[in-house]
Amino acid sequence: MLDIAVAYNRFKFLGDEFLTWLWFVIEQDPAILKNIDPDLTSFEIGNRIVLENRGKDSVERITIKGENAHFEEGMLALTKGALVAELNLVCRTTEQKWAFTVKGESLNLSGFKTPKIAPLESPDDLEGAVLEKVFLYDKILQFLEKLYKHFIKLRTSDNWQSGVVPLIKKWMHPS
Amino acid sequence: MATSGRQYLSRNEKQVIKDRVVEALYLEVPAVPHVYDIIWNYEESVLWFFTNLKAANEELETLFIRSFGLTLIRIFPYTAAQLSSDLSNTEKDILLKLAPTSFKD
Repeated sequence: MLDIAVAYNRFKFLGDEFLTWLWFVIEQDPAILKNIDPDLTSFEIGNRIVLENRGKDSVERITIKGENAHFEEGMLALTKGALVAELNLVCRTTEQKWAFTVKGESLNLSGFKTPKIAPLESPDDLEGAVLEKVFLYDKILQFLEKLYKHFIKLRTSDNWQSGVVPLIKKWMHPS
Repeated sequence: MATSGRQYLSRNEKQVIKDRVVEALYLEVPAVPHVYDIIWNYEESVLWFFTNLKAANEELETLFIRSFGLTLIRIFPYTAAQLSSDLSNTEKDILLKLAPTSFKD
């Protein structure tokens, strides 16, 4: 293993590529996501997306936020070489909804909202409520871990350059 | 100074006095607690720490190694790929050589 601090900076581009690929997959091939967790029935970009265009000496940052935000400016930024640095995601099963933001360079999660659990009626319910909450967090963390695993396998394969990148470029630059 | 007849304190003496005053004040000021949730799945060797604050994460890492002799490894793109992605040795070699993809036309 590389030194952790060196590895963090050297490979933070992988997190941004992961989120950019994820946006592409949500729009163009959501079946990949459903195969990873068949319980999750829908995936949407939520209320915030941050893109970064890293030049040699400067970083250009574009933030799009709002409940009904349109992401045309985001697509435009992608065509100019930006990548997704933060992405707010909404995942749903038939009855439940999760929302959270993933940061590319660290894979940190923030603003994590799980489905609501039933209110406690007695102190004896506490343990059950904690376990239910843990289950709800774990559902998404397991999903993200599997999704990243899928991405990394793809990213280290020949198929990335020959198959995936041309499709992402076609999505970014529709003629 | 009265007994030694000196007019000035040395730099070290000033620092010792400053440290004692700060220590005495710290004892009088009530501590402000910061509470964060942690879930440690011991069997899976996985820990969730529910804050992204840098100082709190560093404090936890120090506390963890002091308390249990165990080193926490943060999960970020490289460590997630190395430790949680079941990559073969060949794939790990490729990973180490990866460079950013250009999506520009």
